[in-house]
Amino acid sequence: MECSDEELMQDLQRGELRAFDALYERHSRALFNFILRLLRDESLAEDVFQETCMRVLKNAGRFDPRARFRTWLYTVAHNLSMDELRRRRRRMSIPAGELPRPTPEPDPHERLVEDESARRLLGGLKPELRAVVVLRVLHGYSQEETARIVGAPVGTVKSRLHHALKRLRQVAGET
Amino acid sequence: MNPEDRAVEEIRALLGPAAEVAVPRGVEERVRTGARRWARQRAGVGAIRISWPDRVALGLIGLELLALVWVAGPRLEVDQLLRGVLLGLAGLNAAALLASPVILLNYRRTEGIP
Repeated sequence: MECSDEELMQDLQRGELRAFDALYERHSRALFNFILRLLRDESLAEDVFQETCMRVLKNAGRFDPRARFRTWLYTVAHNLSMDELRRRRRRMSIPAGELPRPTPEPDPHERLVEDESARRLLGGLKPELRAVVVLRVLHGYSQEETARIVGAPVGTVKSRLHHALKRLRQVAGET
Repeated sequence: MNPEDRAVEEIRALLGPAAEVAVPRGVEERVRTGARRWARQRAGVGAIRISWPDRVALGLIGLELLALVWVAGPRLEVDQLLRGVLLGLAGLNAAALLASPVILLNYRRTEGIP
């Protein structure tokens, strides 16, 4: 019988690296896509994904096995992503002339993602709205779990979803 | 169907199929290397380890203290030195008291600690 995530976390607390490998196999792809959809930047997403994995290892001892692992994992990823977006916004607010403009190499992986219409539409949303849409619509999370991950009441999640819908209708209408 | 489910369905229709990408191989390798390092460190968790940068920092602090005593020591009275130390400690405590709730809250948030 397959172990639950929470049982694997208990194994990880005892220092069993195989438990981490199993959790990685289960969650890495969805987690990476979640972070990528929030940040919309391949290299930032890679950094945040790596940092999230390291936090899981570092804080494995603090994980309460009665809690849901998936919620904890996505909460860490969400908070790290939001911090990264805040840092990026602060950097963007510095006058352009004071910063050297980087010239990114064209990345075939990135182009593949950029072609997605979902990604274009999501780009029109504020990060708070985008997080709710990604979790509720693309990852199929319940209102309650989404609320726990984004650290907001269920009512706020509902209203963000409706705001997002309004905004998406606008963006879709513009193109 | 309730309004929330309708909103979810409408957003899903607007977004269309969302392609998923795989975790880049380089990132996966970095994560697995980090995990192996974590396991090795955890195996030797009983020993007190001081990393090289920390040793250098401790050495510099020691040198700084020695230099301070060497330069200022003979010219200061003991009560002046004590007063200086007490004022410094009080200042550090006040700063820590003011900063710690903010640092703690941010730490708990990013680490996912309830």
